[in-house]
Amino acid sequence: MFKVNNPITLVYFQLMIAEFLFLLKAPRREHFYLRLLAALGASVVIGQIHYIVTWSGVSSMLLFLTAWLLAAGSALLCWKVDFKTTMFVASGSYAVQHMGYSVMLALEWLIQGVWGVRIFNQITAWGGFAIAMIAIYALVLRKNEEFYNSADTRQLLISTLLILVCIVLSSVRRTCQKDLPYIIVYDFIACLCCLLIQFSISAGERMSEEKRTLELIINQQHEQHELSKQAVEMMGVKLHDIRSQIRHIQEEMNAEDSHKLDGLKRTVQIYSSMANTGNATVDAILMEKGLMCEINGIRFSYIVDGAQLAFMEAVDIFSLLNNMLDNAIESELKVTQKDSRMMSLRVVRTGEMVLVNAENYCDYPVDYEHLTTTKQDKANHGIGMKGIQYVVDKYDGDMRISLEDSMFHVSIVFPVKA
Amino acid sequence: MKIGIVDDDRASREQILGFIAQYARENGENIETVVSDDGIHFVSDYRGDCDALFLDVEMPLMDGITTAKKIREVDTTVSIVFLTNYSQYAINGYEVNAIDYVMKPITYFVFCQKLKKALAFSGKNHSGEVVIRNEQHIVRLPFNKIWYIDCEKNYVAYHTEKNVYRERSTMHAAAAQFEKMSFIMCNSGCMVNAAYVKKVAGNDVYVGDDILQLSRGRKKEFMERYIDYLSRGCC
Repeated sequence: MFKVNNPITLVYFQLMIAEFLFLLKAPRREHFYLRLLAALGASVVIGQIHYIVTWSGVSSMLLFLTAWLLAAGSALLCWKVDFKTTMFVASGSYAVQHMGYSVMLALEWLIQGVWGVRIFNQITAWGGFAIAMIAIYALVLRKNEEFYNSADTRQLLISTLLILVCIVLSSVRRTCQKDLPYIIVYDFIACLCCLLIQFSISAGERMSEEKRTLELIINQQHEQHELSKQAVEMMGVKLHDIRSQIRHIQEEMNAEDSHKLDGLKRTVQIYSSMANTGNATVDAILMEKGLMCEINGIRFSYIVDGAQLAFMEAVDIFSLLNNMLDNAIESELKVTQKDSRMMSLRVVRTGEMVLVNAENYCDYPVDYEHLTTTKQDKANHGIGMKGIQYVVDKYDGDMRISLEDSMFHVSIVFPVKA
Repeated sequence: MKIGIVDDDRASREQILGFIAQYARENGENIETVVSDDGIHFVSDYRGDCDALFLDVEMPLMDGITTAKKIREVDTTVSIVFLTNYSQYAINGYEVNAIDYVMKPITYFVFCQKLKKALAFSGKNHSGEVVIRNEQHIVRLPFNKIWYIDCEKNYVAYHTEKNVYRERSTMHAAAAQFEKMSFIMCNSGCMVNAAYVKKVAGNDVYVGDDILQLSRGRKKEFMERYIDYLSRGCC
């Protein structure tokens, strides 16, 4: 009959538990549990090799290698993950499993050395594994739920190599007649390195990845803006022409009729008013947002000393103001009472600081958590806030978001770079 | 509370007076008003006792921006809000430290919001004085002349532009008196008047030529209150 109590199957079972935790949030394939059961069954069958082959030094290596490859194969079978992720997770699982095992062996060696009692058995082995599992979950996995998504080839190669080292060391220990305590230590260190490489690089990679994406989005928005800026400038020129044409017509008319055109002239003037803040990027944004507000019946006032933002790159000024004003406009559109739609922008220098303050009327409760959250959220508002935060961080600024007396404020101070 | 209105258009003046009266009634406030139809007269009669001014930008004799410049020569703390037909006329309001403007035609709702904002920004909110007694003299020191307050041994020192006034007291007692105003704690032994903060960089607060230490634990709250002071006029 098949025996479950063989090293291959046992190691495999533990690896699967570790993988299960590693891939807790990963998408599963259809009939997940059926697949899992099939994999477990296969491992029991394959585990029987243990009783057929006579295990010597080299073949002992094969024992662990088999368990490891089986676990990797099972991950591929049960979860919707690619090959790279699979190897990544299999190595991580092996490292965790092995660390638990090493700790138990070390304890065993100590206790046997001092009291001469043998305590090692199945129960303590599983106990060590459980402790390692709980530790890794509490310390790393809980916070990095999707870490496996960011595996890169370098990491994968190094962690796989380290696991192979472990496997060799383990088989050396098994084939030697007496236990070699320092091998356990080497083993443990190799596993620890494997995990450290996996998690430390993955955190760094993820951050720079996120930053790259953000920069890409900002640049795309900026390009779009360049287009609309040209359109707005062209419209300004056309409106200027219309204004002088109205003036010509008025000159030829009698006074009474000419007054009838005053209203039209005024409207044209409002639309053609180019803001002149001392910064071309700021002017263009104000022009565009001014029109958007006009169309949506939002009263938008701005007192802006654009020259004070000269220390920033144009793309950052754009990203900052564009996102701040877009958020404000979006928020105003939710104000049902049309007469109450109002917002203002103030950019002023105070001492050696520049204040950028956008405020808008807000008669509904705001979800602060959602606004200030640093977690990845797919909502557009989140990206807007991220764009703002990116610029704030880049120029050592400080931001404050508040809602008081129905006014929603996003305020930022930047130290002026000399 | 006192509000000044300068507008050459009579209908506009009356509308604003009506708004202020309605606002005072609704909020149970007692608001005094000073009205003028041109900047020149207003400036020459101005006594520097207003909390907020509403200045029309387009006026024939002296425009609103010039009026504001003249007023700033005698009163740096009054809140200035412009009234205008075109936003591009008021956008440079930062030159006279104006806080906002209202586009005509004005509605009551919008006016109220701007009035509230103006009153919050009024430097008159922080008026008042502290009487300092020590062995040599008794000094009455207006709050808004104090740059920062710190302590050494059993003395609290009030730093102004030119002088330092010492008094036997504790930081705790000073904090209780000043905390509600524009003063913010930088560390357990020092509070700074937000109005005089030149720069905050890292854990240093620059005031005049002095650098005050911002303690790690207080940095977050300090920045929040400092930004509130700059963006809303109160902290």
